[in-house]
Amino acid sequence: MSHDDDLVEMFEEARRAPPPAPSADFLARVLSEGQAMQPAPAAPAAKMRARQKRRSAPLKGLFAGLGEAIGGWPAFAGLASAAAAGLYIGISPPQGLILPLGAALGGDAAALTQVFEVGDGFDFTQFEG
Amino acid sequence: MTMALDQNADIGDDALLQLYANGDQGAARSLTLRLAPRAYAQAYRMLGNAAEAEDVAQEAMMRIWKIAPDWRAGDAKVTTWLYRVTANLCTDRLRRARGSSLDSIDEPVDPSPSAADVMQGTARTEALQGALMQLPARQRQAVVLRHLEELANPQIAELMDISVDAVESLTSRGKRALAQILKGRKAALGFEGDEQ
Repeated sequence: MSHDDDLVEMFEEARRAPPPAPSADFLARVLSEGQAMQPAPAAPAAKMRARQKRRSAPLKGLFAGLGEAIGGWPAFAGLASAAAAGLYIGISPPQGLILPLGAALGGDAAALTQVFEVGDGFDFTQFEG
Repeated sequence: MTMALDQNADIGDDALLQLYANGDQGAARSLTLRLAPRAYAQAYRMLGNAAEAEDVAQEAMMRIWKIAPDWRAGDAKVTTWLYRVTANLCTDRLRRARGSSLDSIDEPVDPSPSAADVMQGTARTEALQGALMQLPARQRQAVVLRHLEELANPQIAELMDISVDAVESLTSRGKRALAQILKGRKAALGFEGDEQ
C-alpha cells in the first residue's frame, strides 16, 4: 500500500469520525450574543392589517353616510345619468329643441326676448273669471 | 446549557438569516446550532486548539449576526461565506502568533503532537490531526478544506483568494509532507508495508 493510499484512508476515517464538538458553554455564548445583536421584531402582519384598516376607516365612513342619505347606490346612478345628460345638452344642444322655436318667431331676436318677458299690461287678474 | 434541536431544519440558511434579521426569536437558536459547530470544527482542524477554535468560531458567528440585516439571498451561500471568514480568522491568528510569513519557514517536526490529546476519535484520526498541525498554515488550510471539508478546488481557491493552480500545489505539497510526517508511524497505526 502506498503513502497516498494510506493518507486517503486516514482522510476517510477522519471524515467519518464525529467532528470535534464545541462545548455547551460556547454555544450558549454564541446564542446569547446573537440574541443581544438581533434587530427588533417587525410588526406582525395582523397588526399591520388592523392599522391599515383604522387609517382608511374615516374616508370609507364619509362615502357610506352620503350614499345612505340620498338613497343608496341607485341614487348615485341617477345622479351620474343626469350629470352626463346635462353635459351633453350643454355641449351639443339637440336641433329639435331650438329650431321649432326659432321658426315660430320668424328669426326675430326681439320677439324671442318678448316671449320670455312679461308685458306691461299683463295682469294675472285677466285670467280670473 | 442544553440546546434544543433545530426547530427550523427545513428552512434554508438564507431564509433563516432573513428571519433572524426580522427579529424571529427561533432563528438565532437555529443558526447557532447549525453554523457554530461547523465554524468550530473547521477552526479546530486548522488551529488544533479548542480554546482558540472557540474564539475564532465565536468571532465568525459575531460577523454572521452583524451582516444578517444586509444579507442578500443568492449572492453567496451562507456556509461558504462562513468558511471564508473562519479560514481568514484562523490565518490571521496563525500569522500573528508566528509574526512572519506563513510559508517562508519550515515547520518544526514534533513527533508527539499536542493536538492529539484534545482530538477525539481513533488513533489514526488523532495522528492525522497531529500531522496536520505540523504543516505550514496555508498548506494545512488547503488540505483541510480539500480532504476533510471536501470542497472543490475552485471553491477553495475562492475562499483562500488564490488560483486553482495554487490550491493544487498547496494540497500536493501538504499531502507529501503529511506522508513524510506519518511515515515512521505506519506500523503503529496499523498500516501494512511500512518498509517503503
